[in-house]
Amino acid sequence: MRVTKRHVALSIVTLLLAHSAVSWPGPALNLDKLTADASLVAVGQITSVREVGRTTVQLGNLTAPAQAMVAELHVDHVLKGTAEGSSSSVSFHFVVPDEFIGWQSVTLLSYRVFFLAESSGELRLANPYYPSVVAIPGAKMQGGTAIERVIDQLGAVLESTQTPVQERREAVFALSSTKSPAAIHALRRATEVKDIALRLSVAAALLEHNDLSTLKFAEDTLLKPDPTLSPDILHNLSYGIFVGVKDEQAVPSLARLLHASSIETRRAAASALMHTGSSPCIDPLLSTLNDPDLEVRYYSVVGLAEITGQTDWRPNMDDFVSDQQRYLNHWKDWAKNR
Amino acid sequence: MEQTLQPDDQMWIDVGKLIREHVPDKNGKTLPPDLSSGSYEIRDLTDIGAVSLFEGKVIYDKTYGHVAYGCANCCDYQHPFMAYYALDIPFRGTAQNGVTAYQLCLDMYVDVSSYFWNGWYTGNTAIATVGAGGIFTGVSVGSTSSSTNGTIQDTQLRNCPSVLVNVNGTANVYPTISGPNTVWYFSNLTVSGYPTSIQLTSSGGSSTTWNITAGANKINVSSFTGSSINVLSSGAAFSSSVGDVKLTATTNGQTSSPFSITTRTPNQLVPGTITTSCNSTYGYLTTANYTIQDQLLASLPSAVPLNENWTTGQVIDYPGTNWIIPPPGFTTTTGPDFAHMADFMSGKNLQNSPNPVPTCDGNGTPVQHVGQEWRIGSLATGFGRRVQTDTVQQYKAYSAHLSIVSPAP
Repeated sequence: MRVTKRHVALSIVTLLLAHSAVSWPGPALNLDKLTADASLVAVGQITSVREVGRTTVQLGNLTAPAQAMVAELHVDHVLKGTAEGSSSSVSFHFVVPDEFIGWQSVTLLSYRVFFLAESSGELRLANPYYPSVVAIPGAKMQGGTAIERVIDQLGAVLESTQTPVQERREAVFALSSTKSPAAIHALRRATEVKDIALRLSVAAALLEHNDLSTLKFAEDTLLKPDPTLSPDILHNLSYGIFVGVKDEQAVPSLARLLHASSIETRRAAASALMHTGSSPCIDPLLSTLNDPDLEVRYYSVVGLAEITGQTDWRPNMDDFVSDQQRYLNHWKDWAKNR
Repeated sequence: MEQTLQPDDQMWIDVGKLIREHVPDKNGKTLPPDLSSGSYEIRDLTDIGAVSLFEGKVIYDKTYGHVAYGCANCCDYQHPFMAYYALDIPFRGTAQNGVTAYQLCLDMYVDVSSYFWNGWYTGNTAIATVGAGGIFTGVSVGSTSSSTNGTIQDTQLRNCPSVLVNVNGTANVYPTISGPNTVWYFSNLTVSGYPTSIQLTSSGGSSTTWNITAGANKINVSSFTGSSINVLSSGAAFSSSVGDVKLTATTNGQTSSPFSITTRTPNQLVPGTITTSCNSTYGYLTTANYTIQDQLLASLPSAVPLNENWTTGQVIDYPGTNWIIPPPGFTTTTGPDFAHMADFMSGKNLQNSPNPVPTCDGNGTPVQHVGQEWRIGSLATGFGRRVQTDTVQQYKAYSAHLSIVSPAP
């Protein structure tokens, strides 16, 4: 066999990737886009998975060897599109790279919502990073749009006490990635679930969408965190506040969270006050100008500048780090003289 | 009270009678019975600009026998002048001028432009033209005289005569600047969808000189003369607020309005939701989501390539492990959330006899870790604007980013 440069390159890549695992970046889940991109969204069980040959995956300049696979899905419900023929099963193609590049596989006997798209006359995964989301058999099929039907499936998982918490949390994270109001309704129905970690995940997802119905619960948790809780759970809760809360009604809670022992919580509260951007936020933001954390102080200064319209006193992070005292003094003086 | 007067006609008003007999005005209102003083005003309702209305009065005091007389002055306009003596007009744009005068009775300046309708002209119509209502149009960059005339009551004579008055001013046509107003910096890389060099053009043409009036340390320009210049981020400093870098263009002594630019650079990763799910191939899959923000805390607006890099060698925490560190990865973000990316972190492939076997039970036994950095703007490892450093820590049942530093230029 003639060894070409291409073969050598391929071998080197394969060798480098052999048995690898650590990390690989990719897109974040967007359930709205995933549903929109799919021509067929179907709920069902994978009844067979088989390799049909070898192939390669091209990612940028990287050529990664992979298995070409075909799966058989026994369809219980079609949420979008039409399954061809009278059969209740559909076949679709997917690829499993020999080594990890962030793509997810399709597992035999798994019961999920699959997102498929037609390509060259064959059904393939609409997004190799997110082939499917969790589902349970027997979930009621309701009307509405395709994304609302997908949300109904996820809501059924979330409310199912028979489903492992891990999968119910997966449903929460999928629901948090859509902007559909139906997702908020589904999450609200689960705010009183027994499992604390799951309930906190639901709270985080609601806060990320500026829904304050669980803010008190989140505040209590973050001010007195249970040491047995996973750091990821607490992080997600803080993140929900950091990025999502923009409602003036949250200001009293946010003001209390500014005194949390966790830096991440204080950053989240300061960021939310900055995003809220109205005059009731001024006093809480002024109270953090002496916070020991630079990022908290920074969000306060930016928030104050944006609320009062003093754009000359809104530094970017570099400016703030290099001349921090000048900005802090300005806002302290402003507080005295207002 | 309203009354039509013929030439040389007159109208007598006995104010005492109006009070005593409670005579209502046209709105049905009467004067109070105890009224002893007040002011009044007479007006020609036709307002034709050439009135000759006189007013005189006799005041007699029946109680003490006093009698007095008097007559009012004309409520005319004094010292008319252009609302904008030097009117600035954008090139190929328009600007409105008018005439203002002091109104004696009102004791304030009022707009009298209507008296000057159709009286406008400019000294050089190759520089600026003007319409009947005082709307100027910039034809070419430069300066010319402007004036207008109109008939207006401009004397303090009691017959309020109208006279023709002329007011003067200047019309300055200044150059305008056009071009994009955001310039990006990706450590000297060009990235599709993100202008890293923008061209600004002055309407003043090749004799234009350019001046950076704010934020000079944030941009580099290709030239300070000429009709067009290229603007790049200096890479040393970036905008603190939108539009805080300003340039002007000067041609024929006329300076443009400041043109505002914002310089931006990817600056930080905001850690988002972290999830770990069970995975039949790798035991587990941890997904750490991030939002890429610029230095103004705004999410990046378009698809952007990014890469990770290892800043240390593999550090083994689990003696005998066969988990290894593969080449670093890369991706390009996709819409609609162009600023969102995820780092997928897995255990070792279960088919490759991993030691330890990755699980999905929350087991926090450390296996290995490695230093990591993230760069935005390129798929090539080590290129682009660095936004974060951290440590990827792999455990038996999940992975995490520890010791995150962001921004990390």
